[in-house]
Amino acid sequence: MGLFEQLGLDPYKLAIQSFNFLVLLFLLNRLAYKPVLRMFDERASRIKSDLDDAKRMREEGERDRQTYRDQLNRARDEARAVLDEAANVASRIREQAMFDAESTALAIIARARQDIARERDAALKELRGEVATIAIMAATRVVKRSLNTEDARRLIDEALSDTELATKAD
Amino acid sequence: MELHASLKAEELFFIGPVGITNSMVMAWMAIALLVVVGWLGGRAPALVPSGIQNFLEFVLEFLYNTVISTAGPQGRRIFPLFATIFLFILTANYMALLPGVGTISVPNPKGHGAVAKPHSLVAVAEAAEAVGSRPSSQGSPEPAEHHELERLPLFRAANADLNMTLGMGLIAFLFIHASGFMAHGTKGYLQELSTPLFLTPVKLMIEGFVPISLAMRLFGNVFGGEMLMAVMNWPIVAVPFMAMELFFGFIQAIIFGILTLIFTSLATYIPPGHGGHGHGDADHGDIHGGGH
Repeated sequence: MGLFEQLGLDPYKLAIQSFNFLVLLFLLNRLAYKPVLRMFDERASRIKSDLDDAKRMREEGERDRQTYRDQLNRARDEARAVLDEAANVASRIREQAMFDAESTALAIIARARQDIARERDAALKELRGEVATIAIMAATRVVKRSLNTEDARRLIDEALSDTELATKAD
Repeated sequence: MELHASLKAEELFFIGPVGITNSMVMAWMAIALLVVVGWLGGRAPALVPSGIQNFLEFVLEFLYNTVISTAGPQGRRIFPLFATIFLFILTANYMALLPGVGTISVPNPKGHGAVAKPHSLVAVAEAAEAVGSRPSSQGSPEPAEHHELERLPLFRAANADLNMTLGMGLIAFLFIHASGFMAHGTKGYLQELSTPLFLTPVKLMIEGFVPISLAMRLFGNVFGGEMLMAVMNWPIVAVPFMAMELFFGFIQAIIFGILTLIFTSLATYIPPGHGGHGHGDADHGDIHGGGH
């Protein structure tokens, strides 16, 4: 016991100091370790969850981008098809318009020719009537004056000349 | 001047038959400091730490990583004891370096005796000389500290008291073997201790010396440091020794904690392929529960 006495070992003091330490252990465990370790766990779990979310969102973003890319490609294809169709339609319309215009022009020309022919026939017919009248007038004069051959010929020429003049005057 | 140091902590006052020593006062102060810091840092932990929570998390994360890297997942069960040992020893050692420790004195409750300069170590020597005792190095039959001093130092390093260090050693010892019994079961752990049979006495002796070695190592280092600081108590000269004490204070804290951690890990180690007992499984469950 002398050694213990010299070293200051004492059962009461040993018990008190051990108790002190146990109290410290209990209090620190209750007040500091548990809350802090719980926070470590929560933080780790939060970080893991955030990383998982980020990964999931990245995958979703990738999927969305792919979807948009597909949609864009489809839209481009559709637009291209629409443009091609429009070009085809325009081409058809243009061809049809040209055909119609050509047909109309031909019809107009044909009608004009018919009108011209009709006018010419009418003019010729009218001219024949005039010529006949003049011939009758000339004949009447010949008969009245007992024309000789030379006079008759002169009168006919005059009549014809008058007819030509009349025609030119018209 | 010859130096006679008191191995015993000085009793400042008595509660019944129990003497309250100056090392107990320092232990209480260290405990109060740790509890207050722990409470402030852990009372409302935020996801994004700041201030004292940040500091507390920094310290505890360092200790936690040390435990987990040494003992693996089961280290979570060991962590509270390891951290408390480390923090208490470190705090108490560093508080012992503060001005006033060993120099602030109070009247001796046991009565009047020699007048002493108030330093826990030097004072005893000088007081012993003052009352005319012969130094122990010269064969004095009566140790110097047996003489009653008129004044006693109010503070003494908590770990310069064998009662404190042995108390921690015994708690560590009990924890180590309780963990062993829980991991292996009573029969399994006794088998562990008695295999091979002829080495059982040696093993028991080794195990029995664990708390003593833990306690003596810490006590000797802190007490030696106290003596060193008392002797080298000169301006400028004391600075490198103070730095050395800071370093040794940390080293002693980590050694005590790491040894406890390693002994516990060894006691609870179950080789691969040995299922262990039911308690071992319970231990595994506790790891995630974080209970102590």
